[in-house]
Amino acid sequence: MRSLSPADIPAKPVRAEDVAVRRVRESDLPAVISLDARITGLPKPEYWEDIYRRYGRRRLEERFFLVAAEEGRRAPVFGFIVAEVRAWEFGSAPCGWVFALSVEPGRRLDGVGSALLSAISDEFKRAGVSKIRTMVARDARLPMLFFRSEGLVAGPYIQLEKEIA
Amino acid sequence: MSKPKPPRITVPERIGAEPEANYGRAPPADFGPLSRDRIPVRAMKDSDLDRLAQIDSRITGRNRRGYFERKLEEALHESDVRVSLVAEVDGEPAGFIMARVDFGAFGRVEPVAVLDTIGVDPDQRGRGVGHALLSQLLINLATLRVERIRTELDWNEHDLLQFLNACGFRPAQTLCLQHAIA
Repeated sequence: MRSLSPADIPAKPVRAEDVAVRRVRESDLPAVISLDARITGLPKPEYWEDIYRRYGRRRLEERFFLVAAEEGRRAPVFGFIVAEVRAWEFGSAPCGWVFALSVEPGRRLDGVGSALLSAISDEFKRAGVSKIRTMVARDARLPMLFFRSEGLVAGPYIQLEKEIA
Repeated sequence: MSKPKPPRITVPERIGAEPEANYGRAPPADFGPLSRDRIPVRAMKDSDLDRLAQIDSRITGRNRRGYFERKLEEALHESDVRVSLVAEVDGEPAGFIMARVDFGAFGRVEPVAVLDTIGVDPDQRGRGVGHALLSQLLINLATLRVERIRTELDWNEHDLLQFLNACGFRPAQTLCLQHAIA
């Protein structure tokens, strides 16, 4: 799998109307891995290959791995979203959970995140669920601001955790 | 002839009487050794599907066999690491716990275990089945060097909240955000 260099990344901002959101392809993986590594500071190729196998190829009626892309470019992916319909965890009603969303830093405030969320909402509607949910760390200001600006409000779910070590 | 060198590491001898065993002391960090000793816990397998769906149906009052079929497929055939477990009483499955190991969302990079669901046959409650399952799961995850486990649940799930609180779970610094899309 080839890693991307800065020269692969398009230099000009992309207009919202040029954003095409589609299902991920295997050939998108290097760009997804590279984008995630630039944002998190930790390359996780095995993790994303596993996510692609699970969300990009299996049970596609309830799992969604979408990318925002501009067709015809050499390194077209500048955002992605991963989500699934989670039905009846602990007996709760099915709903759509978003657990990953990233946009190329140089392409932010350009409607890419909104286009991804809108596309995933359409997929959830088609899957028959009526709510979209996500879990965001309290100190993660960027995703918090983004989701709030998209109209998401506090929901009746709580996350519990326990240190194992 | 030179004197023999003393060993580099010396084990100090105990001084004073041997301390009495303190049976009133709090249990070690692993909170459920007794439950785990009494209730055998084993890895989940495909043939558990019927019994798991039956237990769940007795808990929720709904038939969710399709959901369990998918979860079992995910737990046993899609994950690199199988961590889901079944507890047995008298040789029959009496409870189950389903979990997976994952990276955190939105750029969080630490590997965490996600507890998806836990269920105990209503007839077997109060016997430590849930504690046995969770205790064994935590031991297995510690072996995998997973440092944290998290789960998400509806805040109305009072019994489950109470159980997880008693097992050491605490609210994470996260917020659930939602939006109607219908």
